[in-house]
Amino acid sequence: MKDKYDVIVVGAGPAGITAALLLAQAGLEVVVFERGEFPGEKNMFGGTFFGSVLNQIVPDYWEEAPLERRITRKVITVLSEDSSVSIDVKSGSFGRPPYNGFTIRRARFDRWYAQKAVEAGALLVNRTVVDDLLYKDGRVAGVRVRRDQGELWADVVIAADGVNSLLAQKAGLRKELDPTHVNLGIKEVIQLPRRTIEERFNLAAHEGLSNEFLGGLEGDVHGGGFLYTNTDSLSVGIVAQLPSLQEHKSKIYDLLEGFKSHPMIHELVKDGVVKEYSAHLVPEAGLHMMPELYTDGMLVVGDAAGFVLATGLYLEGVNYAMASGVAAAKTVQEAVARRDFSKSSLARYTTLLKENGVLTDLKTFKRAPEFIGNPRLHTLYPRLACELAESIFAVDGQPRPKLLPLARRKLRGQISMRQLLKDGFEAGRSLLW
Amino acid sequence: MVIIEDKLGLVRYNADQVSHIKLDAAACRACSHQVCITICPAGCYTLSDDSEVLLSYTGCLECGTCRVMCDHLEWHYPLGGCGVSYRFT
Amino acid sequence: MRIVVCAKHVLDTSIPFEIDEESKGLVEDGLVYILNPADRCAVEEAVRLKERQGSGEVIVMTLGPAPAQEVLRECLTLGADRALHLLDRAFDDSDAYSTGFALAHAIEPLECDLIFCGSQSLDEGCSQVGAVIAESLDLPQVSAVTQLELGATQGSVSLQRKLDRGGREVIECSLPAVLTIEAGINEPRYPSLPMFMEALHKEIQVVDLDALGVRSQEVGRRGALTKHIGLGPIRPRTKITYTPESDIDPIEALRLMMSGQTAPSGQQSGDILKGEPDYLAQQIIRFLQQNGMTPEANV
Ligand SMILES: Cc1cc2nc3c(=O)[nH]c(=O)nc-3n(C[C@H](O)[C@H](O)[C@H](O)COP(=O)(O)OP(=O)(O)OC[C@H]3O[C@@H](n4cnc5c(N)ncnc54)[C@H](O)[C@@H]3O)c2cc1C
Ligand code: SF4
Ligand code: SF4
Repeated sequence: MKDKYDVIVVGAGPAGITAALLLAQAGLEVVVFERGEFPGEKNMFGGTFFGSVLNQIVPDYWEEAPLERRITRKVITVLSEDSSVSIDVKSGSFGRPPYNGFTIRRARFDRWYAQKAVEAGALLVNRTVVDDLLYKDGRVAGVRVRRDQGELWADVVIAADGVNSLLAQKAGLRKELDPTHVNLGIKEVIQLPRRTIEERFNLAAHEGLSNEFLGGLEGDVHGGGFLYTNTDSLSVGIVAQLPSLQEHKSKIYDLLEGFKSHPMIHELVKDGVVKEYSAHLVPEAGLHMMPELYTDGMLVVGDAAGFVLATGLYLEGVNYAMASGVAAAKTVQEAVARRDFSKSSLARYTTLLKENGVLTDLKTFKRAPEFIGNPRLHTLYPRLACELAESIFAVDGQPRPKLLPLARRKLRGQISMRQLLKDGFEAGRSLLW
Repeated sequence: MVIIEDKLGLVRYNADQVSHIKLDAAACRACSHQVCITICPAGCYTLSDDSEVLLSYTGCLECGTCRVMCDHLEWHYPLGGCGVSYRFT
Repeated sequence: MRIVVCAKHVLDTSIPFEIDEESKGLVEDGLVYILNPADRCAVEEAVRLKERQGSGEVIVMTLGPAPAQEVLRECLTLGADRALHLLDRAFDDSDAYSTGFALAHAIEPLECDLIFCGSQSLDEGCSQVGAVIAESLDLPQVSAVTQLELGATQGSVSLQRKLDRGGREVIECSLPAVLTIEAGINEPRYPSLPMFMEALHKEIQVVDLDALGVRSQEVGRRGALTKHIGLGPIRPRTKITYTPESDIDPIEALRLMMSGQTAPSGQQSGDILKGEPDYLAQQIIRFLQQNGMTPEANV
């Protein structure tokens, strides 16, 4: 066995694989360590994948990647106890190449993607967990894995080990995760016949829907839900804030059960058979939780660096993980050309992340985490929105009021106009302008 | 109320022979919130009849939530190739 | 010493699976195939034997669809030196007989000293492949091996094999021989990093029908002696408790219960054959033939 490689990548998720694939293509000797039996085995997520970055790496990836359905219908729903209001967007262009997004299942997708890196020449070492970093002359110079004689050296280590990134912590690049920086997500994959899904969600063959939900969690726990259509199953889950779960002493799986029995959701999932249950953390604090991104001999990519865009409307991480993998690969290639893997040489990474949009997007939505942290967003507003919509459409023999007076009446006593305007402004500032 | 064991019964695991998470029994006895019991999405933490916190590591989904919520755990990933193995997710 | 280990990729039966109403087969999505646990022990035992001797070669072999390659890779990480994958459309739907037949053809030119199979496969549990290989190559076979050492004389092994109800039998067997290895004979290792990584570079040799030098009607479905009809729903396993007749004395009743017999000694129904193995085999075959239980062509 060689005991030194050019690059060691820790973690075969979308971030790590992207970096490994590009570096192997560039002719470098790359080892990827993955603790699962195969890539994707450990990787739970909601279910939607946006492929703009992948399309540059594997052109027309949709021809060969294991995808579920292309998303042609995007719905955002606000839930109160027993009613709901939705914004429903259906777009023809979503259904044509290069496609806006797909639903995917990670156990299949990550495995396929990792195979691309192997074909490019990367050495994928599954079933092997990295426990620690090795140092030489004060800089990161390799890893120690949990096997006998488990030391391997490299010029650069790329930490792509996901949200818990024990490596970034070991390298002193980040402190212990704070409960306010991550949310807990759980999901069930619920099997339904293909035809039933298409009828129930008004979809043509291969077409899919993504639906995010605000509010509707029992006990007003802060969080939301999601429902995505796979080929012959649904991905249904919730994401909740840890301090809120703790405060309400709520068990998250009870909340999911409550969510599934909401009258609106129940109609969508009924007769389905639960096939799997899963859980994972989501880094949600964006720039607020970002570690230092590099040090001598080491770079941090993907969830390990907190690169997830969570605005309440989106939860987008895979695309950013890939984009950060691209930036890391480029940084390393340049460092190889200079034969310089010091911190100052790797500083290019930040610039490249800005150029390809990762850091700029996070900056654009910098305030979203605070906005999402606003308790009224999870409790009061969903209820108000639903009540408002109900009143507008209710035919109860009463004279029909106009929208604004109606809203004002609903709001009275629940929230001050000043607070409402302030929240509205916050919402706009974090999501719209 | 959900019986979490029913959900975990759907999940494939390659059981490791030793626990990848270690509790500090003294810290648990002194712990005021015992948040691990409600927060774990796999219900791995339970209270024994004589109020001792117990951990059943074989059902762990490796999310790391307990690690984030509690400072008294010695938390590792399971041995490579062991632990949870999602098939549909 | 050269040892061939036949390994199989089997269904992980620890997870729930469904039977497809139409095809009567399993629903593929979500199924996981793993290295058969007994085969893993067989590889480990072979590698240990080689290590004890300081030289030799361990070759793993499988017959199965393309994904079965992964179990070969796993065997390589456990220390096998090289791997052969019998892969051809013609091998599809093999049963234990046609599998053993094809494996035997691949094994023959290797001139090995020992052939290991796992004692039982986790999924189908037929434990016949080893016997078919032994028969095809005209070699002795010892089943349910729980301990293995080099024999007192050159060219033999000393074995312990499992009998019913905890019994053990010690056997000295001449080489070459086919051994079926019990899971639990050893605790397979967790390979070191160099061992694991080196295995990723080893080549897996694919052997197709032509390379094997057999005809397509001898292998796969066409060479099979059994036919897969379908899978039924899982039946609850009822435990049979033996209740001895009330008129026999208690000591005899106890003896019967422990020995699993159903009638007091001296009253066994059926014929009990005694004699040398060759004679016994002949008698059994005759019995089967007389009762119309064997296809003539294959005897
Ligand atoms: C509930 C939920 C819903 C989500 N929904 C979406 C969505 O709909 N769309 C979207 O785009 N994103 C979504 N995300 C975010 C997305 O899943 C992540 O941003 C993305 O997976 C990050 O990729 P990554 O490669 O950085 O990390 P990961 O995908 O987590 O990969 C890390 C890899 O490293 C391995 N690993 C970790 N530690 C070690 C170690 N020490 N040694 C060896 N291997 C190790 C792991 O096994 C894993 O394979 C969601 C996340 C969650 C939790
Ligand atoms: S939260 Fe930590 S210290 Fe408290 S009971 Fe749980 S494991 Fe023990
Ligand atoms: S890591 Fe997650 S699933 Fe495992 S014990 Fe901790 S909280 Fe529970």
